[in-house]
Amino acid sequence: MRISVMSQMHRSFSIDLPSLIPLQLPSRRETHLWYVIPDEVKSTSLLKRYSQLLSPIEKDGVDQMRGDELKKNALLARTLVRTTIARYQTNKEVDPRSLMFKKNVYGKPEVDWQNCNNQPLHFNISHTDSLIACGVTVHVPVGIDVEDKERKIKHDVLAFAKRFYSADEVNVLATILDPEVQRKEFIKLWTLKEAYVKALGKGFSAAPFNTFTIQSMPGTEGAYNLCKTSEVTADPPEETKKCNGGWKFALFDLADSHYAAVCTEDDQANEGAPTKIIVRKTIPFVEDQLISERIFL
Amino acid sequence: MWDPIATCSEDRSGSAITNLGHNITEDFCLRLSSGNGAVSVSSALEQKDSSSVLVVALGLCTALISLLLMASLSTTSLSFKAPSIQSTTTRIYQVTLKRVLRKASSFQSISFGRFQSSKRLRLQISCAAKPETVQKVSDIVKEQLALSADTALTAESKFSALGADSLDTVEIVMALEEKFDISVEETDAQNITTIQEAADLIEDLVQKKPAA
Repeated sequence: MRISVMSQMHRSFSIDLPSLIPLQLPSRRETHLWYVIPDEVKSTSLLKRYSQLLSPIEKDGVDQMRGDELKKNALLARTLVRTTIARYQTNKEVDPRSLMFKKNVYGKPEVDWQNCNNQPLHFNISHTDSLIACGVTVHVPVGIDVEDKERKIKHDVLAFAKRFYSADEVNVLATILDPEVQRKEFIKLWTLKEAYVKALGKGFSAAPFNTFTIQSMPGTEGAYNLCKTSEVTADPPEETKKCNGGWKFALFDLADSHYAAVCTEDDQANEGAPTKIIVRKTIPFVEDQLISERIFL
Repeated sequence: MWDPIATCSEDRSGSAITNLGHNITEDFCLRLSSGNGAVSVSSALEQKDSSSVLVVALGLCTALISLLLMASLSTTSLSFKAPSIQSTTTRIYQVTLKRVLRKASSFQSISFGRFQSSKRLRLQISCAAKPETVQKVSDIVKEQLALSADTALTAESKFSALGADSLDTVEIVMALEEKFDISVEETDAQNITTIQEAADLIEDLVQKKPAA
C-alpha cells in the first residue's frame, strides 16, 4: 500500500515541487523586473526539475548551446520566463509547463494565450553570462536589456559608435575624455537602444541604431528621451528631430554588476506620467527578494 | 567512377544536406539511390544563363523524382549535372535542393559526387564559400567570443549557440569588415546567424567590390 502511494508521488509533478507563489499584476505605470544570478543556482536536482518545465523545442534550444554554462543559462532563462508568467495568473493556478509561446511576425517572443484572449501581460528577457532578467508589464509592450558593466569592447569605442550610433550620440561620446567613462557610457547607450528595439518588437531593420538618438533628460538620473531623426526632403535638405515619441526609458544599476535598461510604450492616456520599476531577485520555486522600487520621470 | 564528395542520409524529416564545403569546379551530379543498382538519367541542357539553367534542371529533377516515386520503382537513381553558378545563387540552390530532397524521402541515401565523363555538355555547380573564408570567420568568432583555440567550430555553428549576443554579433561583423575590407549593411549584419552565412556574405561582398 505504502509503496504504491510513494510511486504515485514520484510520478506526480505537482508534489515534487512546491507551488509557485502567485503575484499581483503590475499596475499600468509599473514594470516588474525579475532577475536570476546563475552562480547562485547550484543544486543539480533543482536544475533537473527546471528542465522538466520546458517544452521539447525549448529543450532542444538548451541542448544546442555549446558548453555546460551556456546550457545552464539557457535553461534558467526559459525557467524564469515560465515561472514568472505563471505566477501572475492570479485567477487560477497555472502550471508553468502549460504555457505556450510563439513569435510575432518579426520574431519577438510572446505568450500564446490560446483560448484566453485579451491577456494584458507583456514580457521581455535579456541575459548575460552572469545575470538573466525578465521584465513584465501590463497593456504596453516592454523591452529590456542588461549588460555587464565591465564588458570590454574589442574595437575603438568611438569608431564603433560612428559606425552604428546616431551622430548626436557620437558627439556626446566624443566629449568624454576618460576612456573608461566613455566605454561605460557606450554600454549604457547600447542597453537603451537595444531595449527600445526589443520593445518595438519589429526587428532591427525597423529601427537601425543610427536612425534614433537616446539622450538623458537633464536634471534627472536615469531618465532618457528618444529622438527620432528623419530627413525632410527640402532644399536644402533638413533633418528634423522629434523627441518624446511615445516611449519611456529607465536606466539603472542591477546587482552592482550590470546596467539595466527598460523601455515601455508610453500609455497614451497617461502620456508623460512617471513610471515605477520594481526590481526583484529570484530563484524559481525557492525564494524571492525585493531589491528596489524606484520611480523614473 | 563514382566519387562522392558529400553524402547525406535521409533523416526523420527526409531532408538532410551535408556541408558542400568543397570548391567544386568539375562536373558533378546528384545521385539518388535506393537499393542496389542504379539507372542513370542525365540531363543534357545547354544554356547561357546559369541561374535559369539551374531552375530548369532542378525542375526537371523534381519532375523526374515525382514520376519515379509514383511509378514505385524498386531501384532508382537519378543523375544530373548543374551549371557553375555564382555563390549568391548557391543559397537558392540549396533551398530548392532541400525541397527536392524532401520529395525523395523514400530514397535511402543521397549523395553528391563526380562523374568522370567529359564528353557531354554539362552544367556545373560551385558550392558555398571557400573553406579558407570559413576558417577566417571561425578565427574571428573564436577571438570575439573568447573561445578556447581547440573549440571545434563548423560552418553550421550558430553564433547564439556559442553564447554570442547582439553586441558580439556586431563586433564580429566589424572585425570581418576590417579583415576583408568590405562594408556590411546593418540589416545584413543582424541577419547573420551562422559561420557559413557570414562567410557567404563576405564572399558575395568581396566579389561585388569594384576592381581596384
